[in-house]
Amino acid sequence: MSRFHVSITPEPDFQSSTTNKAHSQQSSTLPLSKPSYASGHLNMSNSHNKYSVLLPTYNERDNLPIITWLLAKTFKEHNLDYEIIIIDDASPDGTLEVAKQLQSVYGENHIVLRPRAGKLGLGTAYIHGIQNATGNFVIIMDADMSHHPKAIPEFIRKQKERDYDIVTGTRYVNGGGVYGWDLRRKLTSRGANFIADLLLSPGVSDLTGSFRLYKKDVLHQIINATISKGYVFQMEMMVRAKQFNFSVAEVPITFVDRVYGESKLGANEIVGYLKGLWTLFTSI
Amino acid sequence: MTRAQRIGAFAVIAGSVWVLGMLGWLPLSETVQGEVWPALPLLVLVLLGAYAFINIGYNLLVFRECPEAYYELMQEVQEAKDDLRAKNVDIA
Repeated sequence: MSRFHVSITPEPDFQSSTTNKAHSQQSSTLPLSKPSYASGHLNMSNSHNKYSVLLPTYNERDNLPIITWLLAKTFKEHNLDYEIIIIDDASPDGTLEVAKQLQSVYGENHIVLRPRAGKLGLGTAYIHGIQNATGNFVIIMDADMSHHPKAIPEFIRKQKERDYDIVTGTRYVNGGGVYGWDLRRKLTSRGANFIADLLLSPGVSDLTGSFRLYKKDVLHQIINATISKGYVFQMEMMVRAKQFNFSVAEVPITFVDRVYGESKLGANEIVGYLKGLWTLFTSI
Repeated sequence: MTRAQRIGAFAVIAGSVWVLGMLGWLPLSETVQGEVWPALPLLVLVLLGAYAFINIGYNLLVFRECPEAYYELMQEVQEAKDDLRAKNVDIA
């Protein structure tokens, strides 16, 4: 869990301007071809899928170049059309400057900068990002390298299997895992998922994770319906997805806790999580 | 109806049935009435607790560590830094 969604300030009421688009219209263009596993590469040459990665950043100067490099490498290796949309909330550490340098390395078609004036929160960052996304799929991940782009080809492969609306990464199934967590952190994570599962039964094993692939219109519809902030935000998106009957598939991911900077999980975060959970429980 | 309301409604109904049984308004045998019925709420609590304990405990036990992902990442970070420096990106 990146520090980004730990300290999220109240944000404007963005869901009031809901535009519920039917998500069915674009799925017809997606081929259901079975990918060839032999080469380890995805054969995408006959399709027109484009993947937009949304990277909301706040003080990620050290991480951003590397995650961008890894993303570009992965997409290039698998011959995928992509763009990386960097939504920087006026980081004081110069994240935007380094993003501009990356843009000149990888090109304006691959690196899109959509900075904002201040720290406005994760939900609006995604809205802002989607509005600027030209891909038909959107990938959401943390910019702190706890999510590794190597999982993206797996997400895409899984998505094509049954034309899933959402593919979500999970640390908790076979093949997944974490690095850099002590027992307390693991227990908290397990307990948090258990309570959420008991109260909301969302049908997803990793509720608090945030490494996901969405069809763009699906993400738009879900995000417009989502009201939570902070930790609960990712969880509510899954609950809403279930409410809308979107199909969700899971792919195991490895999670390496922040290498640069520290990840924060204190009593405040736990209380915030429980409060958010309760709000969801009593409103859904 | 929200999830909280549904679960709350279920709890109210279950509780009412239990109270009715305690008051002797249900056709229960004498042993059930005297020995099983009074212990039911406690039993439910204990079962719920055991379920939580086993669920969390089991999942904690099978929680996989992935040091290999860490070492792979560290190697790639170095590669990325070298490559990006050569392309004039400011890397710490």
